[in-house]
Amino acid sequence: MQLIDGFIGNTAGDDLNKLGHRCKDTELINFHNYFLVAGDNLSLSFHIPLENTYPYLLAQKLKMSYYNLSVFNGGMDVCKNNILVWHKRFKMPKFIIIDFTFLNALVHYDLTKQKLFGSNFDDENIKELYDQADHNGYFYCKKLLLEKLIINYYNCPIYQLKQNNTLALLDNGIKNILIEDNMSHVEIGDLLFRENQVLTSKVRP
Amino acid sequence: MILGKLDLIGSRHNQTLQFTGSDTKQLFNLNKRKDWFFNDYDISYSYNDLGHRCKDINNIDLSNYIMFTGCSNTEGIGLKLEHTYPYLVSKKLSCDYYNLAIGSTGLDVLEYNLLTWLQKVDSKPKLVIIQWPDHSRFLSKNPNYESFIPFGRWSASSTTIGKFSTYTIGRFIVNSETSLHNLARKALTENILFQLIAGIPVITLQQSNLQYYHDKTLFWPNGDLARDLIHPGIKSHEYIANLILENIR
Repeated sequence: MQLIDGFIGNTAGDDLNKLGHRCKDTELINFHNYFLVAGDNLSLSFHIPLENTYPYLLAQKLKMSYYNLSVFNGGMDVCKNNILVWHKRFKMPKFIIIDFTFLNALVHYDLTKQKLFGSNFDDENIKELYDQADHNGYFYCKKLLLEKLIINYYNCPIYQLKQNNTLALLDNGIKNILIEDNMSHVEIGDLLFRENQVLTSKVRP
Repeated sequence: MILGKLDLIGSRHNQTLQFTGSDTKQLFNLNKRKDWFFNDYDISYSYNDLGHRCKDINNIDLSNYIMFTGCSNTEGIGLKLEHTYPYLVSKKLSCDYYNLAIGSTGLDVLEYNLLTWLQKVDSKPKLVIIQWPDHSRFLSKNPNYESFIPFGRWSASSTTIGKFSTYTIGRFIVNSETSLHNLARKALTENILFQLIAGIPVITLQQSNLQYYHDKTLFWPNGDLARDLIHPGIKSHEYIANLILENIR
């Protein structure tokens, strides 16, 4: 992970743009008709071609642009940074997809203060850090404050992909979409497409 | 400490107190001695309806105000309001001010409250003054309770805090430091704040004995002390006010 022009981007993975995000550069986004993705590993899915990921497939079906702010193992700190800086810089999206596999992932600095990186779970102190953060209310409070900030900053529809056995970021003011185990990106894209059609039909008489 | 109106975190909403935070009556009685300046120094800590030590938002001239945020140093613990640096700076600049600072809190509350204010209140401040707190502080919450609990280095020396084990809190702070999570969190908070406040002049300051933030931060040295003999005193607040005013010029 690294900080580029105010955003945190991935440093490894295919199809990364100038900011380290797995999508087109911001200059190529149609800001009049786009959606935003913020999350981590599922929406990136570096193991499959970009054209097979659900954000790409959904954008094709909806004939929209999209931007994917997701960072591998980014967690709440990275999401907060990217989604709030995005709000300051760019036009409000038509909708947002929030999608976390490891919501509580923490970020660390290296000693040179040049690079951010995810946690090394081989380190016993890191494992202890996560247990303590869970027990002392640090994670819960962090989630609560980030939820408030996102809801206050973004007045557009928000879809949250909820995976089995993973923690969700948002509890209120959003539409949850349950993702079954082993669901393909095509199926996730179709689910989101249908939800969006329902929402659009409610908005337009 | 709770989430109140405008979704802002505040403390002691609508209360007026003689003592608060580390400035306790017990400590005052213990510290009392002959000819001590603070013997007859009566403080009235008045908190507004959002739980902040300043006027209600409805009574602020939102067309001409500056914003202060930080921890107990900016809240002005141990001092009368008229001796605190936010009061002195705004008086000198002939403008109103709002003080979002809450004692015992850290970067998470500072960031959350400032960003929420900027989003919820249409009138933007003419200047933002950020006093960086100790970066190891963090806010905690139990899902079953309304109140937030701020934790910091002091928590590790207490016996129990609510349901939370102080040993766990102490170890969490140590592990956050050694794994450089605190450093990353601090860098990201600075990034978010500077990105989102862009367009409004910002002055940052910190106490000289705290861990370093960044090159443009102003430092104030340890000086005289307030009534609790912990926080900066009258002369220190005057020093901070002058430091800010010099940098505005």
